Amino acid sequence: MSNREEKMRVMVRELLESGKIKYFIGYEGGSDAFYVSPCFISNPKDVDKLIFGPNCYSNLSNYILEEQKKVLKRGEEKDPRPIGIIVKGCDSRSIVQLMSENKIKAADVIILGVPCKGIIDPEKIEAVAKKMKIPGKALMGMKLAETSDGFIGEFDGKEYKFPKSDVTMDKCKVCMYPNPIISNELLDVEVEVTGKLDYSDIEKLEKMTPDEKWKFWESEMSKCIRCHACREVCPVCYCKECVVDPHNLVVSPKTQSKTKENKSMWIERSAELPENIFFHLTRMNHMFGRCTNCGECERVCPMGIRLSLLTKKIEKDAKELFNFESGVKKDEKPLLGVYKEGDPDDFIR
Amino acid sequence: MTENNEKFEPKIVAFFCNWCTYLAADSAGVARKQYPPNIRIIRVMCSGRIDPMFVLKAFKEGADGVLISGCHPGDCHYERGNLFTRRRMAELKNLLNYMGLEPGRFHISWISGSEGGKFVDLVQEITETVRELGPQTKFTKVGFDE
Repeated sequence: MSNREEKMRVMVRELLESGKIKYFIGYEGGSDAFYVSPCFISNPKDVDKLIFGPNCYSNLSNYILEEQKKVLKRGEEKDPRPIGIIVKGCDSRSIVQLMSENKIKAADVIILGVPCKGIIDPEKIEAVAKKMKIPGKALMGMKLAETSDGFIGEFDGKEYKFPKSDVTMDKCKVCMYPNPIISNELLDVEVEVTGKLDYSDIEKLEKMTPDEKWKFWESEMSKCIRCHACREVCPVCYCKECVVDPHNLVVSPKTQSKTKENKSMWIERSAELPENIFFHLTRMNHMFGRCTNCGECERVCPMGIRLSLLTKKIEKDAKELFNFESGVKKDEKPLLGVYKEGDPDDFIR
Repeated sequence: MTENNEKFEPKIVAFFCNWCTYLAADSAGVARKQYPPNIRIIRVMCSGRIDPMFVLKAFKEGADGVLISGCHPGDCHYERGNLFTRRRMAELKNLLNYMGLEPGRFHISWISGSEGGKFVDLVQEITETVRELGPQTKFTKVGFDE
């Protein structure tokens, strides 16, 4: 058990017992060592369920917004207390972005921040374990420890070493903010920034001819089954009514099929190539200047579409065109909500 | 679809702002200047009204090219609508090129009410560019033609 894990439990217990927070959003153990699930703790007795380690991959900031979707019963009053949450460096950017959009206020959350040295990608470590011929049982039950250059998994008295560069997530290699930007308490000492900005894969795609680009994106986009998991998991995709959903149409016996047909027809739900492209491009247009590149959309995609190539592209464009980085400053105005006299206009005739 | 021996006539969807470019198109007509009939003009009150989804929808439903035009910066009837559009469209153009749409299919321009000549030249030039590129098949829904 690591030091910060124990520290987190002590803090959460204290917060819950004193009644300072409604509940705490953290991680609990999942089906095996590399799959953890989010958990909501409101009883101080359950605090020992909480874990934190290099296997805690998901971005929990999305769950803060669940609170706003809650419908109160008649006579029920709103609980004004904040929510506790644990964040890594990358997750804290999502929270900062939500704060800059006035979606949540600083008083709404109590943030426990963890300086992060890299998070393990479950898929990558499975592949590495296969190569190292680690038995499945050992992989599922191992206890993880962090070292300076990698991770050590222990099972049944045996130790397995994993080099860091092989098993960490792709986003960790380019991470510029391993330390939480915003936090009420830090659980560990701040770490050095080891990531390096790398847009080489984007630049490689940009240099291709239109037909080559299209060949790549056609094969990527036809994979999409339009499950909308990327939208659901995204912390900044919080619209109550999405352009994809036609649920706001009141249907009565007199509603004609033509009316239903014509409602919300920007994007059809069928998983056809043009519709998929429309969906993903629209999502990227809505994400421009807001996406913090937390990588959750790519992680949850069941079809393995390389959405990071799109999110990294809009991040790069925001930096190059407007010198803007999302999720860094709490009181920054949204990128598409302001303008400057000297904005780039070389593409305009 | 056009037959091989026929000349390909592109369809270009044009979103024009009511106060500048639509007026320019009007003044070009009044001055009896000829311009290609390939553009389908959609009048919007301000170029700030144009959502990136309009452009994507046009391409999806079979447009071979899209032209967006509004007032020059500083001339906007609503003071700053076109300046917001400039930011949005910069990114949309980048994304469309990134996905493999030929750069010659999507154009943005500023044309003021008195620039009827510029309007005619631009439409002629864009029509020729798109004609050379041929029909747009990448983003189009299959079987949507006609």
